Amino acid sequence: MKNEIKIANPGKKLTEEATEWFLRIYSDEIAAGDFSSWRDWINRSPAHAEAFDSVSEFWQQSEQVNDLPWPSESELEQDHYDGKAALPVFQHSDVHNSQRSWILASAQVAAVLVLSFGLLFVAIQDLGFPAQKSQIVYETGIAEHKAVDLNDGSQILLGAKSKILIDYTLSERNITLKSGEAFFDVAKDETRPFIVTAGLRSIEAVGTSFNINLNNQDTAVSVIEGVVSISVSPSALTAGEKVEPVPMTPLFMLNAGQELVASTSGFDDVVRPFNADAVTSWRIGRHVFVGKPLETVIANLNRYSDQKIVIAEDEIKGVLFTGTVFNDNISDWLDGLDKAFNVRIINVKDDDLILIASSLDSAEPHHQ
Amino acid sequence: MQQESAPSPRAENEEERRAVVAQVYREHNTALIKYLNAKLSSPLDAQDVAHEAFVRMLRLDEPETISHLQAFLFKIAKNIAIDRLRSRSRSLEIQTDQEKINRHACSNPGQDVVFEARQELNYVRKIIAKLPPKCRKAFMLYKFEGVSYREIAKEMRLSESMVRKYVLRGVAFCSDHIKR
Repeated sequence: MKNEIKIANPGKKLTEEATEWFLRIYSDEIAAGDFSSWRDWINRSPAHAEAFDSVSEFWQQSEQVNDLPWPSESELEQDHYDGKAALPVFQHSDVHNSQRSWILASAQVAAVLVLSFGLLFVAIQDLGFPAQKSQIVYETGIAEHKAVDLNDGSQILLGAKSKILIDYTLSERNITLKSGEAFFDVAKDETRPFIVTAGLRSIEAVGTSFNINLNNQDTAVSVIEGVVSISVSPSALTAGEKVEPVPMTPLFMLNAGQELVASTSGFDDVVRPFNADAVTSWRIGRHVFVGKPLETVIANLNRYSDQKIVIAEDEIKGVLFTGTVFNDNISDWLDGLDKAFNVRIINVKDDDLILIASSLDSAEPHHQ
Repeated sequence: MQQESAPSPRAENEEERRAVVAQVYREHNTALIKYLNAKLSSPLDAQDVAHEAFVRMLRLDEPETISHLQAFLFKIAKNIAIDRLRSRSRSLEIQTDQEKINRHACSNPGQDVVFEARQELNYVRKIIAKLPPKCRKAFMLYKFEGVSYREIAKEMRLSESMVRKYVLRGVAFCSDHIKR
């Protein structure tokens, strides 16, 4: 077999030599007679053995990385690295600081996943045989809850006016929360990751319970038990093609007691502690809000209210509300809101309510 | 049965063989295990296969010279390793990432171990993402898609030696950053 790699070029870095040996062994480009020179090399010094071990270790660890973005065509075009010199060594901190990556455009990369012919093949297959996809959809109406028992023992409690897609395969448990809220109690199955996609985020859990609240303003992932990891959802990456500067995939690990809030517009995720009772109380028919903007409060209550509540003015949307609202008592709460805050409620039609700042009250007709 | 005190030629052979194998073992075990680890991506499997190779060597009927034995040792080990890889790819359909993690880690890791492993994974992912685009593509095709150097060269419209260089540089770069 033709072998263009020359081993033990003097002055070369040890890791490069180790990598040459590694790749030769890996790709079987090593003849029986070479074993003694291989043995001599590895036994030359502990540093040699160590260098080789770090190559093996990288190879092994990277085996588990499966969602790497492929470089885009434009990136490839702009890349002038000719491989002549070894790549520079980064400081440890640089690796963590994705902003300083020399591949500035790599953010858009993920959108071009399909360029890999391997993936393209998969994509074509998917298009060709849509029937093989067995997605189950669950949807709830206003003020309706639904408990979903999955065949792996996991349970989902779907909040009102919520929609969820379930797509279980042999290797993955994929869930998509399309709208609303859901509480997940995940059965432990290390062979099949449990992945929930909600808005711009993907949430992966092993065996844990957590709540996801998806509304027009943000996606909140609250971990009650165990650990989940959060990444950018595939749909967010595709969207990133249109919206210009998308930062590199930020990834978070959330522990029990931590909550991640991702805005629907961008990537300025916030991780913070949360009150578990407040977040999960919707399951028992009440909504506890701690310092939530009125806009979010109303968005959540609208899923439980027959009358649609609309906030007419932006200045009210940001008013922070702390308190408890009962499912069967939303209209009473609205009446109280009148007194507690500087707002008025206008009953437009029989079933639509409009919230306005009370200073504008006199200018607006009470009934239409 | 050979219970006489005077060793028969056969037993003498046997003893000699053991001495020779022991010597080969001392001299080659480290290199062999590292070799197997590169092929199998699993320290456990590497140990296992090395052990099996030595056992098979002990069972050889014909006496061999040391230089023959070392070549033979690697040959046996390589064959066993290839068998393993084959049976592994057969079960690949039902094997998941988590199983791969388990194969490398101890059995049934605790949550903190899983957590740590995942953080490490993020780190590896970030390092690979640092590779220049062409270098990264060549590496990813080679490593993850199992595409040969020649095929990658065709796909990327580069020379095969350039593809080799990219993969080499990429792997060396990442390996340099993996040691902490």
